[in-house]
Amino acid sequence: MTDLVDRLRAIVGPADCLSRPEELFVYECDGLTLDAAMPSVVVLPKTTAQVVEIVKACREHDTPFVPRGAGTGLSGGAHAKSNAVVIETSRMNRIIEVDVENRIARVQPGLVNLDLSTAVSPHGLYYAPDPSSQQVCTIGGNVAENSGGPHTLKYGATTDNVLSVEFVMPDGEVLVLGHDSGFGPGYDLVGVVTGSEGTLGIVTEVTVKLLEVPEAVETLLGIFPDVVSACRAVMDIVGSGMVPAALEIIDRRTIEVVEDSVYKAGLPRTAGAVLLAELDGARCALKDQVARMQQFCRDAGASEVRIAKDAAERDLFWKARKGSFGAMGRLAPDLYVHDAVVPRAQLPGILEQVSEIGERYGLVLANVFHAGDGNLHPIISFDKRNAEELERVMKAGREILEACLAVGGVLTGEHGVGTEKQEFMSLLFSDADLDAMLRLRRTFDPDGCCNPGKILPVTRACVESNPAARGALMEMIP
Amino acid sequence: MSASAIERFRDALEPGIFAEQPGTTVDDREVIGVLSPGDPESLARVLALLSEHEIPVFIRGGGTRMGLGNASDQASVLLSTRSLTGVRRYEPDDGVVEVSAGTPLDEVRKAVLDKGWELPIDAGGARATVGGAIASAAYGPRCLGFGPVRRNVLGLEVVDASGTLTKCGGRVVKNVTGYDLAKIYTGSLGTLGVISGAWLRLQPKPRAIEVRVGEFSQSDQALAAGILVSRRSSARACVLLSPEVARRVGLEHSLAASWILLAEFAGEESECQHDARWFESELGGRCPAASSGEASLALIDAVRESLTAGPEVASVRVRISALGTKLESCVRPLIKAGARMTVDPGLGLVHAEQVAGSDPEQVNAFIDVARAAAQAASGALVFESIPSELKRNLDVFGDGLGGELAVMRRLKQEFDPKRLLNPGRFVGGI
Repeated sequence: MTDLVDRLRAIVGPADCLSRPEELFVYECDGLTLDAAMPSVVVLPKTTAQVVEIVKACREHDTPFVPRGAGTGLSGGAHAKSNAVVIETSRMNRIIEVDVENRIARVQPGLVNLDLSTAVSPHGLYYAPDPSSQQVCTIGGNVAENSGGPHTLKYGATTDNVLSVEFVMPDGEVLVLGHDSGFGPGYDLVGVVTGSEGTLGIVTEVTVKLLEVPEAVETLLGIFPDVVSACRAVMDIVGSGMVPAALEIIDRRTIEVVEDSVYKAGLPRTAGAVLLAELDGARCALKDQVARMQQFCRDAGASEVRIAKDAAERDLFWKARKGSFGAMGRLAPDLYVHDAVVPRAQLPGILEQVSEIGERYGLVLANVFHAGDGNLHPIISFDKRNAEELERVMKAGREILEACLAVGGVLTGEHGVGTEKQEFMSLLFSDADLDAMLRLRRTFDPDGCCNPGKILPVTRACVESNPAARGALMEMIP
Repeated sequence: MSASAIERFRDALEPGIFAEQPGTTVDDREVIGVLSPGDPESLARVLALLSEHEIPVFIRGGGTRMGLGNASDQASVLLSTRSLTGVRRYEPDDGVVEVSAGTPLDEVRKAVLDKGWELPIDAGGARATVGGAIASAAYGPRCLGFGPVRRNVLGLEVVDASGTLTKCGGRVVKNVTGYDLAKIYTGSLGTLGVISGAWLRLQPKPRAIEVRVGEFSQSDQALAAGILVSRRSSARACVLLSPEVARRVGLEHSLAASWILLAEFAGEESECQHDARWFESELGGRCPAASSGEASLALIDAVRESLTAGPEVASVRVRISALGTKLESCVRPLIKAGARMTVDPGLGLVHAEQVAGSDPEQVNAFIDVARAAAQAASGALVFESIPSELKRNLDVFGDGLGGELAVMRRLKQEFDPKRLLNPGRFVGGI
């Protein structure tokens, strides 16, 4: 390992090669604090050429490597298993080119998501995917996780907004995948690299679509007696043919915590739930839709529907929503955020089940979620030093996932599988389904050296169903 | 492929699956018969037998886009998904539908309409099927509003090359559970697996539709206007047509016009009317036609159909995709060569047809023009239809792929190691 560290230091320079324990400590996990593992070394390349050299050095030393953006991921995708080398892209944070006429931008992977929208805003443009962590998370990390955000409802997730990538394969070869027009020939490799959680290679440049900032935006806050009635309003709104930019529900427990925090937005503490709804587009089209949306909310039981009177009030509403995870930190030292998606019509029933599960296990459980997409985020607050409580958290989490799958849902809508949900993959997919995923993995990384031990379950069932895969999979087991 | 191997394979099949259909060809290759399994399990058994006997197959949905693909003589049997039909599950509360792959798109469109949804897959051809549209990543002008096929496929049921039924994705609208395999099956021309079913996202039916037509005499002005129109918030389709194509879809226009701009606005009533008025004022007096409501859908429908019209209409059809600002450098040489054009400025797509008959010299000259036009625009080129005898000299998917192609070959090797599924038809002879 000393040889490798020396080599890496020579590639990036001593200041960008971290190997002292106190330097490595911050890299022991990502946003999922439950699963920690120290990397052997962290390197911070500045160029694609350096990434290539790092990858080749790791290969020569038979050491796996893990690409990492800002480390805000919530499924353990960016932490180093198997004593791996972490390749952090934060030094590669330039906007290479903004093509205003064609509305595309070519950026390095370490660019912070919000910095792109800020940079192109003078041209009346923005980048649509907006995860709650957009002030710190990176575009490269967004590509790895296929990140979403509240506005995914109308504008799609990262996969719908990426055109092409420059990509370092796990053997060090540099490829350009995709075509800037979005209609390149052959298999859609950009489509599978997006959301591959850094297991297929390392993205070193990304060309993304930019959108025109809408002419007008209207943000509504519906105050409901309970979550179920807020869900009913969401179903009526979507069923009526409207395509809102966002439909977010915040439950009572979250309201209380947010109102006690710096994200305070004047949400009524007596409400059972609030629905944060946003419409955008041509000004002339919004008036009628706002009126209809208000009516749907009232018909579903809203006691009040506030309309943000200006940008400042809109920002305040959103601050409450996007800051709600942060505010939860007030409740307990650790948070476990789930990310299952259910068919929208199943939301009321599943929320009742989630609440029942939380109560049965005696846990503090709150809900803030993308209701329009059916994407739940039950948040469990706990203290991982309490082993007995941790066990209850894990059992409740599994029951929540099982309940979501039972109504046609999936494990994760935007946070990824990582290490957190890999053992649950077999609940949703057959051995044959997982074998197909393994074939894709092998196409890019036959030796399993790029972010090993993530996504695919390391259970016997999967391995035995495909004896040919056994070698590669066993190598991935840490 | 020995005759005895095929004989043994036929003997092992369930009765009624295989039919000899003399005269059935893929390009100019005549096949000995057509396999038509009626459900996914039967399809899986057929593929398992094909794998066991190592018999390669061509794959066909509705057959509307069989012109797309390289010439191949590596298979002598055709596998049709046309008998895998039916809307399996329609969930109007969620705005999703599950269908069998051989279901015609028109059938799905009609099935979802009554509850206020529409199918956002805009592929032409009356016989076009869901599976075929996905496998060929089919395109129509309404992709401007609908998004490409890849966006609207939520989950797929796929039978792999060994005959195992698999699924990927799901029935929910947002999903990152594992690798997004639906993306590589979409547009793979059946070379990685045979799609037997799909979960699709639906879109709310618009409350209003406005269609406007404009005329231009200069390419640069037409393209600039087309890009602006495409960016209106209610623009769902926007195409520039050369006069012959305009006539074909039933549009009257003045003799001086060299481009006809056709725009469909869909959405909220006030928004559509606002955009339609903007269109009329932008174009001044060059706006000869306007229509509203359901009946006006026929125009863009006709453009969509014209893009898949058969060889009786065009001997060569090429599609070039490029950035908006590069379109003009692509369009000019094609016009000069006498091509009939449908340009989608918002999506950056140029469709050019040549109607030269079958004179190989003229066709070859046009192919050269198309290649040069794509190069001038740094575009990606696909020959969507071309006389079979000329296919053997080129890759219909262009030769612009670099190191990516090696990854694609490895992908094929992993998913179809015996090279049984549509061998030789895809990019680079995959």
